[in-house]
This record gives sequence, C-alpha cells and structure tokens, in this order.
Amino acid sequence: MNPPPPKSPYSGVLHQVPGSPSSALQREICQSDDDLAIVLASALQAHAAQPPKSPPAINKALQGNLTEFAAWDLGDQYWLLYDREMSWATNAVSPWKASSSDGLDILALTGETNFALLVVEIKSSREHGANLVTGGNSSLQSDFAGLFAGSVQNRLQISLGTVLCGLRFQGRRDLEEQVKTLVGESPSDSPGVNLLGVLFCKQGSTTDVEKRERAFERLKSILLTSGWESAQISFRSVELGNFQQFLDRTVTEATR
Amino acid sequence: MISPEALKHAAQARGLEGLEHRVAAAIRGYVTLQDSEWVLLENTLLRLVLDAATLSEIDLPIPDGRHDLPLSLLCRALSCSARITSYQTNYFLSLAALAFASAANFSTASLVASQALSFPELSPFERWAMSVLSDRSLTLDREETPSVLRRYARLEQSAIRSGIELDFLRADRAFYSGAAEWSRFFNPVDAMLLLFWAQVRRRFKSLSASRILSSSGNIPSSYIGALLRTSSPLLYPTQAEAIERFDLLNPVRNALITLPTSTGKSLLGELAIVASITNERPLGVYLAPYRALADQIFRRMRTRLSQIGVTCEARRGGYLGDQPIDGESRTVLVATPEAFDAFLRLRPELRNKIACCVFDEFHLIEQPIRGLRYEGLLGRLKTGSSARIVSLSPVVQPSRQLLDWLSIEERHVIASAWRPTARRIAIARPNGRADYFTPGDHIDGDPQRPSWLGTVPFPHPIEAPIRSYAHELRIHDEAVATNVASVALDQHTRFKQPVLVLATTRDQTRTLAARISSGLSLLEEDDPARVLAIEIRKRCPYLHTLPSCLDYGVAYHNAALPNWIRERLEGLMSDQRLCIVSATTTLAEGVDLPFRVVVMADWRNWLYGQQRAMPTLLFRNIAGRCGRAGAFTEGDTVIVDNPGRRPEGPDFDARYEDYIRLYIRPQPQNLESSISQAVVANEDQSLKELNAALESQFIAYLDFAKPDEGQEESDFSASLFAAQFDGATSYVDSVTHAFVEENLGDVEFPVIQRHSPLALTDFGRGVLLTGLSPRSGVSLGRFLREYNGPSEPGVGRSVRRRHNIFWEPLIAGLHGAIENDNAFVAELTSGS
Repeated sequence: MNPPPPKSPYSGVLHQVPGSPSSALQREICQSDDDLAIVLASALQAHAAQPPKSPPAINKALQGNLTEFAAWDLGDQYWLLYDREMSWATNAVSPWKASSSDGLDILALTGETNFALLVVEIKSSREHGANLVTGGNSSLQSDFAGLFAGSVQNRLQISLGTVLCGLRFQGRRDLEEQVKTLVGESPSDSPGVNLLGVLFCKQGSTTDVEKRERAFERLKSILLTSGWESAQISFRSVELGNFQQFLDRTVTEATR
Repeated sequence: MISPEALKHAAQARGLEGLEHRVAAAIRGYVTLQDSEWVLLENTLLRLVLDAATLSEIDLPIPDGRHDLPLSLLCRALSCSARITSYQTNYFLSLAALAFASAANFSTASLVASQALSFPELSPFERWAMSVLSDRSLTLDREETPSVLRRYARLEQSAIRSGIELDFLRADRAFYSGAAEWSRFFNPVDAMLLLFWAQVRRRFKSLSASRILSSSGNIPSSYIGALLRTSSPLLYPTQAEAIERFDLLNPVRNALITLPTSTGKSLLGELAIVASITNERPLGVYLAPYRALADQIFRRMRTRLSQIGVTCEARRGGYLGDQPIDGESRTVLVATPEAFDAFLRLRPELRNKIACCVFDEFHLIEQPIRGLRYEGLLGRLKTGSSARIVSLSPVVQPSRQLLDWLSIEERHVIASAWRPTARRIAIARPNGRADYFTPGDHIDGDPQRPSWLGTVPFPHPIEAPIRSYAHELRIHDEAVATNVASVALDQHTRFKQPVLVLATTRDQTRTLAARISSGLSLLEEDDPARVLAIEIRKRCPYLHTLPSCLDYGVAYHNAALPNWIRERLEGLMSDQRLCIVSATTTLAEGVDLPFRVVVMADWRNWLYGQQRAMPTLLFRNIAGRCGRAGAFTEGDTVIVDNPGRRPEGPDFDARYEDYIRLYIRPQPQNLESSISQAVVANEDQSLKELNAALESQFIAYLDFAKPDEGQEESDFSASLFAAQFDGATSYVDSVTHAFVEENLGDVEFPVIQRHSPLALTDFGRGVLLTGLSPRSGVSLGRFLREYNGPSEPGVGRSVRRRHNIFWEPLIAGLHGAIENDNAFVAELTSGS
C-alpha cells in the first residue's frame, strides 16, 4: 500500500480538486480494492461510533452511509478534497446506521481568505453507476438541480445552518458573515458555491467508463444551462474492481 | 455574528414586514398563496433565520416591543409557515419556537413548541428542545433528553432553579464543550436549533426568577421555592425589568406599572406585597375590581403565600358580612373594591397595619361610580395611612397629574410596550371589506395604511335609520345584529377558536347570542355546555335564551345572570368549551380568558346621559384581552361598522375616521377622574349618582383619615384625583359642604356631628357600614320608621303562586317608596 499523503498543512483551507471531471481517485491512494478496504476499515474502527459486534448485512442504506463516510474521512486524509476541520457530513454521526439522514452529504468550506462552500454529493453503485449521475431519481442531477428548487429541506439556505453552527462552536464566529453571503437565491447568484459529485462504482469495461464519462459531461452541461459556471462544477469517481467485495471486505475488517 | 440593528436592516431589506402580513392574511384564509410564492417566502425567511441565529448571545434584542420587533415578526411568520404540503415544513414550528424563546417570549415559544411536538418526524434533539419549551416548569433533564446532552441538561436545570452565578458558569462550560462535538453531527435543522439554543440559554439566565428575586434581597427564599413550584422558573422580561431596573421590590416607594395584558402585572403586584409586609405592618391588600379576577388572583396567591406563613383571604362580596382579620398576623387580603371599602369602614384602626395596597385595573378610576370608589379608597389610604400604593394597568398614560397624585417620579414609572402576542385590529366595512391594522408593529411599513385586507360577510350594508320610529329602529337593530352575528360566525369558522362578541347592553348580549347560535350545529349531548344548559333549565326555568344557546356552544354573559351561572360560564370559557360568547364590557375588561378574536358589536356606549364613542383606554384594554399569552400567538379585534340609531349620525367615512382616530392610531390618552368627567358632562342623573357616591366616600374619609377641624371638606377633595383637574375640586367641595350643612341640621337622623372635628354619630357609623350615601341612609331610616309591612295584594296572587314567586313585604315597601320618591335611595335606581 502506498503511504497516505501527508495531512494538509493548511488550517481551515480546502484544496482545489485536482484533475478533470471523472478522474478516478482510488488509484491515487492505493493499489488495490483490498488496500482501500483496509484503510477505510481502520477509519471506521477509529470513529466514535463503534462498529457492530458482528458484520451487518449490506443493504442500500448501509452501502450509502459507508461510502459517504469514505468520502468524508478519506476525502480529507487521502484525496485532499477539503480539510475535515471545516467540513460537515450529514451521516458522519454513525456510518453504521440502518438508515440515512436527509440533507446534503458533505458541506465544506474551502479557500484561504475568500471562502467557498463545497457541496459534496456521494453516490455508490455496484455497477458502472452512470444512471446515478443523470438518472431521474436520487441521482447527482436531481440532488444538484434541487438545490434551488423543490423541497425546502434540501435548500442550501438551511444547510448553511450546519456550517454556521460548526463555526460557532469551533470558535470561528469571525467567518459567519462571510459564510452567510455565499448562498444567493439561484445558481448564478451563488458564485461562492462549488459542487462536487463523487461516484463510488465498479471499474467495469471501457464502455462502462465511457458511459460514465458521457453522463458526467451531460450533467455538467445541464448544470451550466441552469446557471452554474464551469469552475463551480467537478466530479470524481472512485472505481473499484468489485464494489460488492470491497464493501464485504471493509465490513469484515472493521468488525473483526 | 450580527447585532439587533443589523438584523433590523436585514429584515427591512428583505421586506419581512410585508411577508409577515402576507402570511397573516393567508392563515386567515383571505388570500391563497401559490406554491411558488410559498417557496420564495420560505427561502427569504430561512435566510433571515440565518441572520437571527447568528445574533450574538451577549447582545440579543432588548425585549421591549421595539428592539425585538424584527425578531418577533420573523418568529410569527415562521410559525405560520408550517403547513400541509408536498415537502416537510413542520420544522418551521421548531425554528419559530426557539426563535420566540430567543426573543425572551417563552409563553409563545411554549405554545408553538407544543404544536411542533404534534408532528412525529422530529430528531432526538429537536424533540427534546420542543419538550423542554412546551413544559411550563422547563424541565431540561427528562425522559427525552439525548444521552449526550444529559449532563449539560442537569447543570442548566439546576442553574435556572438556583439562580447562582457559579451554577450558570458550570452549565456554560458543559454546553460549549458539548456543543463543539454535537455540532459536527447535527442535521441542518438541528444545527440551526442549536444556534438558537445558545441564545435561549442567555435568556434562561437573564429571566431566572430565582436569580432575580434572590438578588433583590426582599423576597424570602421559601417564597421563591413556592413560586418555582407553581409557575414557570422564568419571569417575563417585563417583570425582570420592573424588578432589576425599576427597583419594584423597594418596600417604600409607590409604583405605577403600566404593562400590556398578559405580561405578568399580577405577579408583580403580589411580589410588591410580599416585599413590603413586615411584623409591624402585616397587612397586604390586592384589589381586583371584578369577582372573577379576584378569584383568579386569590387561587394563584394562596398556595405560595402559605409557604411563608402568610394567610391569604378573599373578600369579594359587597358591604355585608363579617371581616375577621386581626391585624396582627401576616395576611394578604384579595378583595373587590367594594369589599375592601367595607373592610376599611369596619376596621379603620387597621390603617397603620397596611404595608402595601395594589390597585389592579387602575384605569377603572375613569369609570363613573366604581371609579370613584377606587379614587376614594386611594385618597383615604394616601392621607390616613402610610401604605405603599402600587397601581397596575395595561393602558394608563403616566400624566403629570396622575404622577403627582400618586407621589411617583416619572423615572420610576414601570412601562413597556413588550407583548407576547401580536395585536391586530380590523375594521369591517359595510361593503364586506375588512381593513386589518397592526398598530405598533411596523419596521418599515406605512402605519397609515391597512397591513392587509380581508373580506367578511356583511348582509346588511346599512346606514343610520332615517327616522326614529319604533318599527324602523327595530328593523335597523335587527340588521345590525345580523351583521355582527355574521362576522362573529365568520371569525369562528376561520380560526375554529373562541370568539368574544362585545355588546353594550344586557339585552344586546341575549339578542346576539340567540342570532349567532342559529348559525352553529347542535353539540353532542354530553358536551359540558349542554350539561350546564340542562342544569340551568332545571334551576332557573325563567332563563329561556341561555340554555338554548348553550346547546350550540354559544353563551351570553352579563351582570343580570346569577353568580353561579356566570362562574360556570367562565369555567367553560377558560377551558375553551364555548365557540362564541356575547358579553358586556364587564367580562372583557377584567378577566383573562382565552379568546382568539374579539368582535365589537358597537363602538358607542351610554355615558353621562348620552351615547358616546367608547373611550380609547377602554377599547385598548378590551382589545388587549384577545390572544391570551400561552394560548394564542396573536389576537384579533374586529370593529364591526355600526352606524348607530341616531338619524343624524355620521356617515361611514366619518365613522371610519373616528375608528382610526380613536382606536387604530390614538393620541396618548391621559387618565381623567370620573368626577371631573361627570362635572363637565353636567347631566342630571349622572350628577345625582356622583353626589351619592361622593357623600358616601366623604363620611368614610372622615372616619378613616380624621382630618383637622375646619379642613374636613377641603382635605377630602384634595385627597382625590379630581383635585388635579380644574373645576372638579370646587364641585366636590360644594357637594360635601351642602351635605354637612344639611345633615348637621337633621335632628332626627344625624349622620355627622360637630365633635372638633366632624365625627360620625352612632347612626352615622351604621350608615357608613352599608356603603350607601348618608342621604340614602337617612331615607332608609325614615322608611323603616314608618314601615308597617304591607299585606299581599290580591292582584296577581294566583300568577305568583303558579310560578312559585313569594311575596316579600319589605321589597314591596321599598319598591313603593321608590315609586313615590325619585330621590329615595339613589343607589337603588342607579344600580351602583
């Protein structure tokens, strides 16, 4: 296993997400699914919510929670997406929950002086996952398109409460006013918001990769039409040789 | 982190006031908001919630009705935005509840939190926070407390109850060390709620009854313990300010407390008494001008006072009955003015035992006769004792004359515009349009224009009758009653909550109740209102209308009803078991009953011999009665346009101007003595009643204050509030002088005698105890001397037998005397 990259030297700073859309993150960290599973299992064991005594069955909710946790925990330590001190994950309270909480998966503040709000949505598929990019329901498209429309619960406005609350109790009240101004009333009115879609999926064939690439491009185009700027949008996929086996291995390791 | 001023600017920039009015119109059913409009509105509110949530805990808005207005508007709009729709909106209630608490409005927070709890989808933190707020005792350590919060909850609860600074510091540490961890994992709504919770904690400390009362040094700890067991551990902001800023518990200084309804005046009166009574001055007096109010106050006080060895006695009758108070043990007397007047007449020697006397509903001194009794009592105490005087009123303006009379400096007047519930006043026009105004609730809107418009059913768009012919007036009255009944039914249908219809005469209460009940459905047989109807039919078969109305959840309430019925009706009103009640002002003025809407059937009443516009202070007092704190978040008063019966009465435009001038945007109104008002009105019957009351107060003053020889009349008039007004003093002097001259010459029934100074005769002391005027006492003396018990006449005897009516010769004799002599006993014909 490659040694993990060093922890970000910046405090409260988020890195620019490197590479072009859909560049796979997994290969940057470890050489195999098993290595990634061990890293993730170790993080799960270190988490405040202790793993169950016996391996739980992997249903859809647990799959979602584990991958969200992977994106939150490893995204800080290994993929340098953001600094975890300045990020808040809806389901981080317990990755082992039998259900998932509503809301944006991860919010993070990025930047050094002019902060931006990174909205991270995580999807996981045991297949190529293209349908989770631009599909009708529960896709990255529906999540991002719904940020300024539809259900109020998912609006960025109220999600900012999470960030403000975190800042307040971490002693960073000086950032409150800046953060409140990040979100406007529409995408074009919110240049301080960045979107990051992360897809956990099976590596699959070249055709699968192409399908995914096309889905990402299509989604980007849709978001541009609705007022987002290109610089505000990025996608990453974590491609695994066998997604099911990866999860099984992770759970087994974490509950050992 | 923002300041209250910055929140105000944000609220103005985002048009919060207009949004709040829009939502208010929507929840009343006057407008329907499209989904897109709701979404826009919700987003704006949520953006402002972010601002409110980032107010600094150490610089929260002062709860004074002005600085906290933007936050209050936001809270109201939020609480009205939870509704049934395709996505979840119930969290608006949770946000509103905590924002209300952050604004120091815990009574409304409690109500809204209870509504939030009716939804099943609450997170553990949300459920805990709502359970705590909805619980009057504010128990933080409870079954619902999430385990991670338990330690903090215990410490906070103990701090609120002890009021000790160190305990608050411990709770602070537990909260901030815990919150850093909790905040990482809270969902967005919980995170927002946690931000507000940090603010609410500040209010816990600033309003902690235990902290405030312990710091005052004048309230025994056993009393504080009893207070915490019987009411909320937090004081209202108005109460906290009265004690901490205005030093209310200073046992020497007189006080004038002018705070809106439902802001805790009664408890302040109670505290003033507790802080004042000593072994040397063991008597405290709380005067409540209405029986129901006296009962309410007595029930609340009794338990607490017993914890500190103080006896609480209720006296709510008139001038009859014994008054066994020894004047040695610590006692608080809760009494009607009549009962206390009787007490002072019977036991004038206790004058120096009274430590403090609280005059509740103090503005009553403006009312004819009853007002004079208040005025006379206060004048007597001011002159003949050194009792501390504490006056309570929701509407009084502290004028120079009033402050001089009460011996209070202007800087010591305890006043605030803070109100826990919003006040809306609507004018229902003959064309069916209702103009809603929100006086005093503007941050940028135009107070000259209606805040929103509604529509109400107005079947008869009438003007004043053309001629004063009986049949035309009858038709006119029926049309007016139909209009009022339609508006009342409409308001009840909109809110599904109790409506009070205010009538000016007893007859009108009955007419309106009957008309309204025809628009409602029959209640279930076991409904408490129908159970009472059965009992009334059995015990009072002559009352036809009331039980018929009760079958439909409607009642009328006036002084003509037997006491037991009035009390039972008040019980039903208190439990919100009646849909609509029509009542005279007596009910609306005094008792704190839960009505969502007050409908004004008429805006004029008979005063000093002619029909006059209802005084502004009276209207404000009545309007303040709807929307009781803790029962509703807002209260509406609807003035139903009534052209009156005078053919030459003003047209609608002129009436509308009057409504605006008198009730919507009135100039500050100074309190006036009822004596000076009667003197200015110069109407025979009013002056006759005034003279009788003045003479009665005069002899009470002579006996109590023991003025110097030659100063009796002038001292008495100088003791009255009327002395502050030109012309009134000379009138009082002339009345008392004429009485003295006349009675000193009465050898048969002398009430007073020259005894250096004037003193009461034995007969005079007997008259004194009746509360009647000395002239009436003399008339009764003469009547009884000649009374021979007339026998029952044959006419009507069989009818009386059939209806079980007994012939009472004394009553018949008195009736005959009244018939023969118009000046016989003034009180018998005036009803006072």
